[in-house]
Amino acid sequence: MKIALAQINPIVGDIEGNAGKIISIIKKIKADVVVFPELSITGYSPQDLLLNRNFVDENMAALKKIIKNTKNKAAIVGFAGKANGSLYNSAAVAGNEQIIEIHRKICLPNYAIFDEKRWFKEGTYATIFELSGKRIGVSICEDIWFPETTKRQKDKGAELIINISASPYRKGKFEQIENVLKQRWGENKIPIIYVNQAGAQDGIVYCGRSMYLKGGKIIKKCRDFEEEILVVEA
Amino acid sequence: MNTKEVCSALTSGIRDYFRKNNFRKSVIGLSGGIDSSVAACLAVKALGSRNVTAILMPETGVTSKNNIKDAENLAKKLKIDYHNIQINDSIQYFMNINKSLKIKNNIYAAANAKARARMLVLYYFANLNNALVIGTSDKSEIALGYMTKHGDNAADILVIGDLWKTEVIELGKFLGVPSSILRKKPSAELVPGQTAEKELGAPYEVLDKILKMHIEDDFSADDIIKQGFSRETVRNVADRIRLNEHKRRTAMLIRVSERSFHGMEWRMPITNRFKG
Repeated sequence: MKIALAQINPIVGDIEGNAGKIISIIKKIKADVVVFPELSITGYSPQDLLLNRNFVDENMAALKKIIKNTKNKAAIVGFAGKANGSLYNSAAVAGNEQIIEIHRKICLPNYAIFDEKRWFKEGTYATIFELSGKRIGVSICEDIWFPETTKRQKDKGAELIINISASPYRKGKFEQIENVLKQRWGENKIPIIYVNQAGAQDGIVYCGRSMYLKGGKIIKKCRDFEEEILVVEA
Repeated sequence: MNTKEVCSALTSGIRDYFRKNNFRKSVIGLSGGIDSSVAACLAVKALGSRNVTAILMPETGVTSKNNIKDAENLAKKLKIDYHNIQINDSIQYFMNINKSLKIKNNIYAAANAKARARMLVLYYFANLNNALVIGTSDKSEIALGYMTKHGDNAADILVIGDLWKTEVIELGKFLGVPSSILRKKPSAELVPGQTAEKELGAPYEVLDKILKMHIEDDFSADDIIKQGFSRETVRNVADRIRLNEHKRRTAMLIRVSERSFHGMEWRMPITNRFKG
């Protein structure tokens, strides 16, 4: 299965522009699954724009448009998902113009620059989906920083983990991310695809360096801080 | 510090802040000191030399000739436009007010007026060029409040604001800042003979260790004193951090509505393309 790590640099609030970029990449890239970062439709972090109903509605409408462009292909896209009167930091798995599964971020970071509990409710379900006979667990950023979600996905039969992130840079962060992913591999012995946001938003610089980890080793990785699309066979 | 990696992160941060907010041009005050030199190098790396304009703002009689020469040489080395605009007239303006109102000259008011005169010049050029002002405060200064409110801390983007002074010097070496600048004793040069280390009571190597322990590693003042640092210096640092919080914020807004612009309540991104 060819999986594209679409490490993009979205602009916060530019829902139309971000969705347009996502659609053109889905159309252009030769891959079975194209994976985008956390909240890729809104850009990370939209902060209090998430309190604006119109903003959330527009991001949901953009998701629908993206889904319509997944002909003969699957995509994983980050968006702010509204359900039952609550907002979730969500990842849509779409394919053949339909939603296959939605993952809602379980571990909401609320320290340092993060304040996700201000806007989002925690998800509870460790999501897995099946694509071309392969069982894949999907998680969002912080979900993979702790063992539980990945383990639950492994227990449900996941053969591959795809994590979409918006991990900000600070000194020593790259080593930390690589260690966390290697730990998750060590605990579960299943490959991990990690797709991170690139570029900067209001002084917060996102690491990029999306990667494919297999056999405890990093097989391939994207550039630091800059946009790049990398296709791996997984 | 992984200097190369930090340098890439900083240039990425600068580039995207400008690009995503539709700015290309920048203005920076160049003093011949380490902070503004490193900030200028980063701005050039991120935006290109044609998009950086340096303004030298010496005070004749106070600013050393060496600093002017170093600033000019750096501007030439970076291939950026620069203007030399002396600020004596602006300072004289306040001296005249003192004279006419029979106010006794106050050294702090006068020194801060100099930093604010420079801010006026920078923002004048920023408006002329549709540019953003690159701030040159480092993390040590920001922590200690060693800056003039609305003066040298007035800027649109603080490109070395998360680097301790000792890290700025390290980055300066990496960026090829001339050794005459790297070796200099840091000074705001607001009054003749002023040095930062004399005013702050300890060299930056010591201050940065204390600051890092207190701010990044969560050591209390007493914990730091137990590590062998002088009680007086540690107390001075801790007090400065606490008492200068106001310099790190915009003006205090008094909240009376359900949705105010108070910083604790209004958390909107600056880079924001949502028009709805």
